Amino acid sequence: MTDLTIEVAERAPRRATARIWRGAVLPVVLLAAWAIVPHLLSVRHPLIVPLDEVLASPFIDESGREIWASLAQTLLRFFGGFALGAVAGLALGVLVGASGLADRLVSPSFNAVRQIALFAWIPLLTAWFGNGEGSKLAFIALSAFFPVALNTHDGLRTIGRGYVEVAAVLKLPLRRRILKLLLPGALPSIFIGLQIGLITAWLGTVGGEYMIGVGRGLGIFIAEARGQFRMDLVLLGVILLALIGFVVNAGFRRLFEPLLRWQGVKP
Amino acid sequence: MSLATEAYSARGLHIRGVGKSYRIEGSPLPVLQNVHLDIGPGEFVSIVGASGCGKSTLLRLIIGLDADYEGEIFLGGDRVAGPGRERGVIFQDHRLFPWLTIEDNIALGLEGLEATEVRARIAENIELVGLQGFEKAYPHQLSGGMAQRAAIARALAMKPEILVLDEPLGALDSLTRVRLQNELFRIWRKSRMTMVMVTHDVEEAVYLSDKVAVMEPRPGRIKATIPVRLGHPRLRASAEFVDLREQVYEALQY
Repeated sequence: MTDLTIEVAERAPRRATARIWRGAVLPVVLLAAWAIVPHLLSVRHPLIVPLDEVLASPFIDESGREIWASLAQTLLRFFGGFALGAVAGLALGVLVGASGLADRLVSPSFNAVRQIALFAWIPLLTAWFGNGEGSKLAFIALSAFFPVALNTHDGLRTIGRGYVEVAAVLKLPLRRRILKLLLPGALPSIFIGLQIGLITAWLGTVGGEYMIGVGRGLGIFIAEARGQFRMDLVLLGVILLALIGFVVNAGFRRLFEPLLRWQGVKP
Repeated sequence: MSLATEAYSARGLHIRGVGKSYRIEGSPLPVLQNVHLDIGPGEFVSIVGASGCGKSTLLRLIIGLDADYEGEIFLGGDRVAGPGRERGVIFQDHRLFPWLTIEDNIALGLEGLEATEVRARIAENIELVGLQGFEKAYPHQLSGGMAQRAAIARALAMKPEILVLDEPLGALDSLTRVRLQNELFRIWRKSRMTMVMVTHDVEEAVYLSDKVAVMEPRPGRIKATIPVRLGHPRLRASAEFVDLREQVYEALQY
């Protein structure tokens, strides 16, 4: 048969690596400057800490070593809160996406509540749940909940009418309709919702810790280091925050992108 | 291959006084008026007409996607109410689910069958439309013509009694189109299924059909039904063919 054509993705890997290297120039120069310049200065100032001291602090400094326990607490809190929020967001998104009645009943309130700036929840949550773990978990869950719910709903709403008609014509029973049409059809959007949810939940985790400030955690670690004027520890905390944000995002993509292979090459 | 040996049980389709109107700003706008059409068991009937003559609307009523109409549509002795597995549908766009492989798309409607039966039907219909080797491909990896073949296989896998085709080849280039016309003919011959096809292409209608129904618009009605009493294979350049084609064109003038 002559019309059998398989389109193969054309890639330009060399250009892509060149771009990555050019993008790395600025950060590398800045890091090098940070590593070298403070040693060349004759005066020591607590605001100017060389890079090597910052990186060494979690291993040699007594206060610095506390960051490991804080990190563990923060990660636990982050994943717990995210899981709560994402599950609730998925559930609400599916409910309003699948049922017109639920959409009309719930969506106006949802959209109103969504307008509240995230950090404005903290006084409310601490009033309800106290300054302990409950408030922080609720805050993290809330920060993941909105983007996940919103994108899940959107993904279901925008499934092509043509596909819905096919499901009707083929008389797909509800279970099959959910598994073969609704979930995979909404998946790209759900995927985006979860990704945004991870980012906002990470912000929520650290921000919540920083603002509520009781117990252990990276946010609290940074707040205390700042209080003691330990710039090295503050910087250490910031570096770790960025690193974890990056790793979580990359890990999520690695884990879930194979599920979207059917989309083929994007034009 | 079972298609060659067991003929599909076919029932005829009977459209009796069907009318349909949309409400535009409160006043009714008739799109179909008093449509009568009889399609015998195993017959291939085409419906042609200008855009907006209601032919696709009529097809939606036959498929059962729209239940809000006057008159009656019967499949054999049963009144049509909602979609049914005995009516297979081919749309103009293939509408394969992009997240399922070709074989999973074909298996989509085969709920409640034994796994061996599902596998057999996939293999049988993949072979029928000539897509061997593409079972595990995703729709975006196929050309338009191949995707439409896969859509045909998906509809046939349900073993419908009647195949409803809504401009099935309208989105394809002319070479692929002619090739798929021959495939449709071959499938129809083999299965003796009842087929009803909406098309813009008069030549395609005369080439494939036992009968061509010509519709006129505002409101959509059947203006003429022209029987095509030609044997197969049909030669598009033969005098009888050209003559019939002109008859249909003439009926399309208003």
